[in-house]
Amino acid sequence: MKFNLKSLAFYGGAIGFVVALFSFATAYGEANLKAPNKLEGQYRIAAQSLPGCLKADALILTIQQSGIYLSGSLLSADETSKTLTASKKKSSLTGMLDRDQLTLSGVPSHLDECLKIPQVPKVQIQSTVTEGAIKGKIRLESEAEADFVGRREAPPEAQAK
Amino acid sequence: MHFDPVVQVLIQVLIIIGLSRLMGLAFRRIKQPLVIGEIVAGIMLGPSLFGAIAPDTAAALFTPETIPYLGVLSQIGLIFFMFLIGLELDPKYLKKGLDVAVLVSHVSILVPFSLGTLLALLLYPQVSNNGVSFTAFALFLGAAMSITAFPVLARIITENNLQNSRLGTLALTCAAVDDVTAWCLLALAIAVTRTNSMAGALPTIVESIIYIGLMATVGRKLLGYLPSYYDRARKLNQTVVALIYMGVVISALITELIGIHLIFGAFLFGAVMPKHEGLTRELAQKTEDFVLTFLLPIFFAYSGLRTQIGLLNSPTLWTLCLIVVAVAIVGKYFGTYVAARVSGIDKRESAALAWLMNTRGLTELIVLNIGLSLGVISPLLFTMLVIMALVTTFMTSPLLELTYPKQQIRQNSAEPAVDDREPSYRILVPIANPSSQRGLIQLAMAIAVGNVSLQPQHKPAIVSPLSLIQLNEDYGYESTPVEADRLIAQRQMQLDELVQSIEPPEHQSLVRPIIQVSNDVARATAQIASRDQVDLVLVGWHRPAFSSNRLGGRVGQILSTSPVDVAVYVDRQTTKLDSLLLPYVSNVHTDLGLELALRMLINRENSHLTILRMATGDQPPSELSYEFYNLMERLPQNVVDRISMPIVEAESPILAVVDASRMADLTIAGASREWGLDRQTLGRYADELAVRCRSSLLITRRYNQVASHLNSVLESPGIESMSGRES
Repeated sequence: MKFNLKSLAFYGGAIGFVVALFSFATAYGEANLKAPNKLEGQYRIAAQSLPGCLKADALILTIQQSGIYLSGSLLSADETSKTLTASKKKSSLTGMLDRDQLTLSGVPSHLDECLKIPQVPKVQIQSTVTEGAIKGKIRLESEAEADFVGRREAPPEAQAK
Repeated sequence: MHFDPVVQVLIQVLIIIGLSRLMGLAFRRIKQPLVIGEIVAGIMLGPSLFGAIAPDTAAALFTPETIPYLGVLSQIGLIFFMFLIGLELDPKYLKKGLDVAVLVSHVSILVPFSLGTLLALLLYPQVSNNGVSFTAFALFLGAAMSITAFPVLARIITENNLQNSRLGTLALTCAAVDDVTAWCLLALAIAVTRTNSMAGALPTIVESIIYIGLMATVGRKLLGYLPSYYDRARKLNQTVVALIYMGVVISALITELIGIHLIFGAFLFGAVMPKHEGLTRELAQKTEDFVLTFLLPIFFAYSGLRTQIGLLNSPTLWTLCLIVVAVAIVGKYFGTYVAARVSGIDKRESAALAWLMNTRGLTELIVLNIGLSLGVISPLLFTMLVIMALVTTFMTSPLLELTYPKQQIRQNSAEPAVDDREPSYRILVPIANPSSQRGLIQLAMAIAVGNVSLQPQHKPAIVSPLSLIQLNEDYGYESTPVEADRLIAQRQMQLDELVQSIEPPEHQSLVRPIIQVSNDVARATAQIASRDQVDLVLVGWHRPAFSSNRLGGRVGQILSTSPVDVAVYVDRQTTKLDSLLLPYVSNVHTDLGLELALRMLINRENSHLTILRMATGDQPPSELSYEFYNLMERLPQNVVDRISMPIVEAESPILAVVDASRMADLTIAGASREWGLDRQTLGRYADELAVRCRSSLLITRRYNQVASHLNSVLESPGIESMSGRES
């Protein structure tokens, strides 16, 4: 295997440049860039005081997270793992995380009570994320908004990753 | 309805394999690698399609309890697939132009890796979470951008017959170097991810290097006994196969324990296996059928279940996805292009190489799944990167053809022709079995040159036996460049034997075999016929004994698709071609038969031609056409003297021809007028002749009414026409 001087210089220069660039970028990234907190999971919400078709003993809010981009679903608390999977396959809420402020909106299409209404109302969730819980306001279209607290639950064992 | 998990998994596997094959074959139809279809099938079964349109059914089918089983099966598939990749990584690929390849390959990793690192600055705050360190994220994204899929690339190159071209060998060497480098980079990324820092990963890196060293020395030495065992036993028995598989699993477990990943051990074990032709082939063939058709689709489905295109639900996210795809393409393209140019490769070839190196395919999918499982990439980024892998693999073949058409690549390959003079006449002879089709080549030689001695100042007439090698499974070991080369060399030997049997020996230089890989014989024949401006395609036909579908199969396809004149030869093992019979019917197909017969007459002084005209009942014999008289006028007297034109009274013309064929060595008949109305036949008359004719039969089908098969022989010095002599 023979390398000429020009190739060798090009090779050395290229590797040196990439190592320097990587070191600089990682140093900058580690020091200055902050990724959002991890909040993916299931949250149990006491729902006796929630408006309209959201009113129930309890609801489950599932949240899937890809950085600041969120998706999720509102489910009845007694749902089976099959429904949980289905809701994951087709999330009905989308939203974003801005520092510790969470917003989610969409149609609660996994709640039977809401599906009974001819025009399923939209739901909007705004909350603050704290350790193991979310706390904020939930609003159903054409209804007054209500406060809620969601506590994080351990996922069922059998649930797929 | 509740099923046992085993039953559920089996139902899932059934659906996965079925859809995967279906999509794979559909993608083959559009000239894309089968593997892309299989990846798409996996995505279709996941939340991106099935889960989106029927979430409840999808959830009922792919229940959460069964997903871990699929995960285990897919991991086993992956381990053995990586073993196969290692097994086919032959050092032969690394012999040609290694200096250029190492440079191009490493720069083609460095540039996308750098751009990936910069892209991480944009993506990390948006699509990652604080459980992942920036260094791990950047390393992973950089590694994902740098991948080139050696297995997919190798098959694209084999399918395009480029494995022996300068571009093909360079691309293969680059991809092989790239593969090894990228796996090392990925191992580093995994080690850093698991420990969350470079310093923490140091013990893992050191242990990995020690293990690689041990495998390359001790492991290699131990496995080195296998070839001598194989040479003695001539086959692999089940105990030896079991021991090899145990070795794969042990190696996989060791790398997992070290803290990199299962797949590296399996790959390493395959890479250090001795590359003995018979041993490697048998082991690969024993392993690949189950792995590639059963386990790998499960991996694709498992991966597809985690791909959620629905997560890209806003223009912002699609823009991010576009940036990811663009960075991957631009990084790989310019990295390769610039390094190739610095190494002295011309612009067009550098561009073609750059597109080839953009193939990411399945290897990328393996990397992404590891990233997702480790949590270093989020589902959203996973989906973007899957889209990137599909786009970059999908675009390779068309962009390669656009940048550097195959014909041009072959012109640049280093195979000088024996005689590079432009031929005056060229016959293309598709051959399925060189040992049994000697008669076909002899007929082609009789039409092309006969027994005329060669004059150095004349343009030669050429016969090109076309031997196409069909590779059935585009992901099997059979379609690796090394194996394709072996099959080509084997076929070349058979053709050489055939060429050497041609008499006189001086005519052997006029036979120029073409051997190449193709999965569509008829299409390849048509393309070569157009490309090489062939005058005639001569194809052999074994008449089916029990089928009325006379031209089903390749002969029918060649007749339908070749844009040149075609002659179909039904060989009845005639060794002589002295007595020719042409039943005259006035149509263009018979005119072609007549031209070929006259060409043989001019080229062979001992041949006689009987042009049989038939009168039936009150029907007079068919009139000779104006073109016929024109043709006769151009012939030298000594040729005209060897033509007789009897008129036969017969109740049935076909019986008269059959009867006359008893005395002939070769009967030449044009396809009937109705040819083309029904693609399965040559017309009623020609079909019947094919069954009943007593001599060998040549059925001619005219395509080009302007082309002449006589000009090249009549214009030769020394040939004097009747009209020329009279004037």
